[in-house]
Amino acid sequence: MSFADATAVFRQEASELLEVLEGTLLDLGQRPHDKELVDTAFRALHTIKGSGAMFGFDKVATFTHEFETAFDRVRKGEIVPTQELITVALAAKDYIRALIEAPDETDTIIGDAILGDLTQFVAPRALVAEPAVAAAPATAPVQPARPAGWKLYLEFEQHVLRNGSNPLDLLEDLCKLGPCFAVPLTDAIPMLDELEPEDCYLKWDVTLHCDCDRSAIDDVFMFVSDEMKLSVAPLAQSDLAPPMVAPSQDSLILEVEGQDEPAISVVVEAPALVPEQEPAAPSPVAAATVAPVAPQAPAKVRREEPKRTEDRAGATVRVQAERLDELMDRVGELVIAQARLSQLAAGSDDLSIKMIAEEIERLAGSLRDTTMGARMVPIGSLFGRFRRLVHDLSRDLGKPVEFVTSGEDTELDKTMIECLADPLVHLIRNAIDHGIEDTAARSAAGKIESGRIELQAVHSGAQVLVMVRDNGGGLNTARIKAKAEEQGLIAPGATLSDSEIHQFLFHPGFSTAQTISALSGRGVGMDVVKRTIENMRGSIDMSTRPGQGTTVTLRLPLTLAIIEGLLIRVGEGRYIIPLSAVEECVELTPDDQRPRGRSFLNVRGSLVPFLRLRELLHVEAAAEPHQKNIIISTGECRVGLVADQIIGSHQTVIKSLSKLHSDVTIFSGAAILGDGTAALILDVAQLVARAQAQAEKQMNEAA
Amino acid sequence: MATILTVDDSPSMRQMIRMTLEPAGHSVIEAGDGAQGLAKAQASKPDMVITDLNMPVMNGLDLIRALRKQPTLTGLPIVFLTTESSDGVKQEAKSAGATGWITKPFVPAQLLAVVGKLVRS
Repeated sequence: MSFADATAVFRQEASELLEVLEGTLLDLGQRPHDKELVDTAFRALHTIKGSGAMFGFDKVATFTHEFETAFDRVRKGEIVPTQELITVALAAKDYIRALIEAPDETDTIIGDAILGDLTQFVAPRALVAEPAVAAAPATAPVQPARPAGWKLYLEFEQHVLRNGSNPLDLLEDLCKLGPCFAVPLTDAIPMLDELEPEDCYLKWDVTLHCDCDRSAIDDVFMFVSDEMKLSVAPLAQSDLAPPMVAPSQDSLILEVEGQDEPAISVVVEAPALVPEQEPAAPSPVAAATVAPVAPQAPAKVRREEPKRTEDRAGATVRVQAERLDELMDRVGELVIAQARLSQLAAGSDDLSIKMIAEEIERLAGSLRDTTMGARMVPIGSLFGRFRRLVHDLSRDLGKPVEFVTSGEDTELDKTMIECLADPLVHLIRNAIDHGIEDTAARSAAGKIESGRIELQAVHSGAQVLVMVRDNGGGLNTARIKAKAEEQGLIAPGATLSDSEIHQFLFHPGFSTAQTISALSGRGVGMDVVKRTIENMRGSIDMSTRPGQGTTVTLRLPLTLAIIEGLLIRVGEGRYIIPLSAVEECVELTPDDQRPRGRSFLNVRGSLVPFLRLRELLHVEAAAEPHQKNIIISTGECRVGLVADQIIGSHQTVIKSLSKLHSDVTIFSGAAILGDGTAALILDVAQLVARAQAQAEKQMNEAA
Repeated sequence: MATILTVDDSPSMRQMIRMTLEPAGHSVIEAGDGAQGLAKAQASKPDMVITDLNMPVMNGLDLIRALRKQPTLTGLPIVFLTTESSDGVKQEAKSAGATGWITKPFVPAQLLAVVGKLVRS
């Protein structure tokens, strides 16, 4: 592993940590007294600082250190994090990100300004440059002249061995400094029955013949200095000659005792530590920040089921997204090949081939499910990003907004999550900018001052619904209609249903905003949103209640890659209906067979409109006597599709139709069948809409 | 030479330690939090443990205390990583049973020096 790779690891890690930090800060704005949130924020800062310094991001380390220093008073509970402090902290977080991502293009002036803001909220504090190596000991006053040697007395605490320190190793280290003579003092050793085998009872007198610094000796005992008595004194002139003969123990002890007491009993207490810089006494500034400040439209962010970041961190492996895509492609091909094998095996009499084919079918199916599962990501990761957006928008527009999300656990294909980000940004911006009225208008309408944006994800059959709901003023249908007339989209005075009028919002360049704000109102966006969603085989709906708000619903398939379908035959052609949309299959009774007229089916008492696929697909051949009716549903509406034959369920990889077929509405894609021929996949949403339109027409005709 | 267990929730820090120690002939085992660290220490009986203090699930102090209770790991040198230069943290970790510490940021030579100090062949 090269250093560059390690730097990349750091960048990625830092980016994740910054995301955690952002989420935590936003939560902290809501629950300022949650100690755990503060700790999480600190842990993230701490790691960024530590790793940043290691990987040469000195600016990051210095700035983060200052940031941490400022926040330390929050950790100590001396300051309650206000909205203002959170906002500055978020800016600081952004600055750290900039320092990591583009260190050369990031101006330190910004950082200084942020730090200036931060210090407004905390007591001014002398900038304490962190010592590069805290291990550099604060040495005793410099010796006037280097002594020729040192005389040491070592006495360890009895438990020193238990903490992994070994006095013998330390003595060995001393020997490395120069010729060394150590005499163990055994007087403290107890009688055998009182002796603890894991305790250290020996003391040592050491004569070290070396002109090293006192600090070199302190370095040797760096880790144990607070667990020992260490006396160090310059060697007396008389001791200069290296002892050739070991002096008797008694004489050594006498020497020690004979020394001038204050000079030698330098009990070194933690020499490695830099004296702690005491923070300046709390200043009035700090006290002032605790006092409530003028409310500045704080965005309330609430999640219905607060999730802690730790909950999501399981045992995970990082895989490059492209590899998953590749794997999905391979699995898709495998599924096609497997379908062909099954078909061959079905026509064969060889039992063992059949068995193998069945086994492979089972394996391919579970492999497909596993691969799909690996691509599924909870939508919560996406929702998290919008909390900051709402917070900032709410602050910039001066509209207090409560942001509620639910259904974060709903899983969607990874690629869809990525595609969804931009449309949702548009929708949320629109909701806050246009949907939510300003405070004055709200109170005039008798509504609570703070607006509310709800982001919700739910499963509905094979689809996921993502809803953006606001409790604002709702769509102004009259104004949309007037605008549409003004832009020449409809003839003046044309009668249109409300939902038809709302569709104009998705028209390129359509905007009813009276003023163009920095955020929205330029009429770009909704058409892009619609196109993006439709590209994902999804649909977008809008419902509004005047004065009560608007809900935009996105319907999305679970995945873009594979479909479990019901294979049917109409004439010679074969088609696939997404199995998830199929509710039941019924026989079309001769009673319902009336070729023209009202196409309604009585399914257990309820009337279900049906479409004859033969007519829809212009099949010339004569209809088979026993027509099948497949009831499909989109959640709310049920529609029957009449086909000649139901072949069976079929699992297939979706191949999208070429651009040439973009105007074909009733098909959403194609699939390759086991025998190598193609089948078209029916677009359920379009068919349901068509059947309903037909049903309405027939109802009107009948009326 | 020696087997060293590094316990840190920051992958980049673990990597840095690995990049420093492996060229010097040591083998490095990694753990992402204290609980994992304890399990790996029990399983692989390292010659030394380098642990961060601030970690999710089980923090460094708890890990040090737990390691010191292991009868099979007596005398195991445990070094903690710290960015604080404050005395309090060190005292706390020392009384939990740590052998020594390394102050972040460190250069490879400092890490090797500490390892050399506490691990004898």
